[in-house]
Amino acid sequence: MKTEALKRVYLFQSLKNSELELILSIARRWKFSSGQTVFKEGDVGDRFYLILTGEVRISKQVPGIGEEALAVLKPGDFFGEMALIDDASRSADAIANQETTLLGIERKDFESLLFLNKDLAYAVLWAFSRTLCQRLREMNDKLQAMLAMRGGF
Amino acid sequence: MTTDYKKLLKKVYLFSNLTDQEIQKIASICRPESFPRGKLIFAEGNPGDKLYFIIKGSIRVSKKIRAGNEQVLATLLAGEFFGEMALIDEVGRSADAWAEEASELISISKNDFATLIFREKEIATSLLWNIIRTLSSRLRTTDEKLKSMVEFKAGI
Repeated sequence: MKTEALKRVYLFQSLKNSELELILSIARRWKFSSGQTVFKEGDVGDRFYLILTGEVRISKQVPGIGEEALAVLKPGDFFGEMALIDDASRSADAIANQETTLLGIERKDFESLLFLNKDLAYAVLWAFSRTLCQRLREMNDKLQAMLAMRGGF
Repeated sequence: MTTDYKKLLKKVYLFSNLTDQEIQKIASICRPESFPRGKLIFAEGNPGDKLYFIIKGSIRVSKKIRAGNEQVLATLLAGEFFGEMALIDEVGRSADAWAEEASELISISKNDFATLIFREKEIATSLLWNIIRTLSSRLRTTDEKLKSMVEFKAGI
């Protein structure tokens, strides 16, 4: 399997080829048929997914309305990386939109790999921290904007 | 003095997985700081040059909404830390930090922190894991706040 696909994931961007090979060594392929559920909102997640072929639809069930699609992900896109950190439940459904092959990495394997390879861990964890920081900043700004809009109170 | 730090640092969640020897290394770059009640520690937009750990007291992290109006993002207590985001991504402070009561803090400068974790990969990975877990839980809290506001608006 090519390490190229992994390089597109922000967590692995700065890794050397030998390090990408290590990541690949803990990854496993998962096949899904069209319409098959990868995970459901509320499931406890312990796996990160990268799309190799096919498409995955991320959606939420809205009471009284039905399924609301949030995004359609293509090969090279990834999802569920928060499952590599903690036991938080999935925040949306992920459904195969067509016949799809995913590359999955499980948290316990990820943790052991990082524990054994400190240089790899340093690079991956820094990238993770930076992204989470950026998301938190964006979310705080959104919150601030919404509160300002609410006015009057 | 350093032994005092060691005891205090052990209570900080960020350092909970470190060995005594590793804690000692952290202690060597710590500085004590005290803030009276109501004092501003840093303001949104300031360049971030320090990471803070709360030893005693409480810190209010907030954002200004309009003149004289603020939204509290979090109130942090002894054992918790703040100011880590500016150390990670080089952007300025994302919110204000105020001493909610007379508070004893320990600070670590950005340069000292970067040098230490670059040299000590073992310490670095342990700290980064804890930082990531903290960020992830803060993200979740903010996301929930945001969602409840959207629902609130939709309900109007």
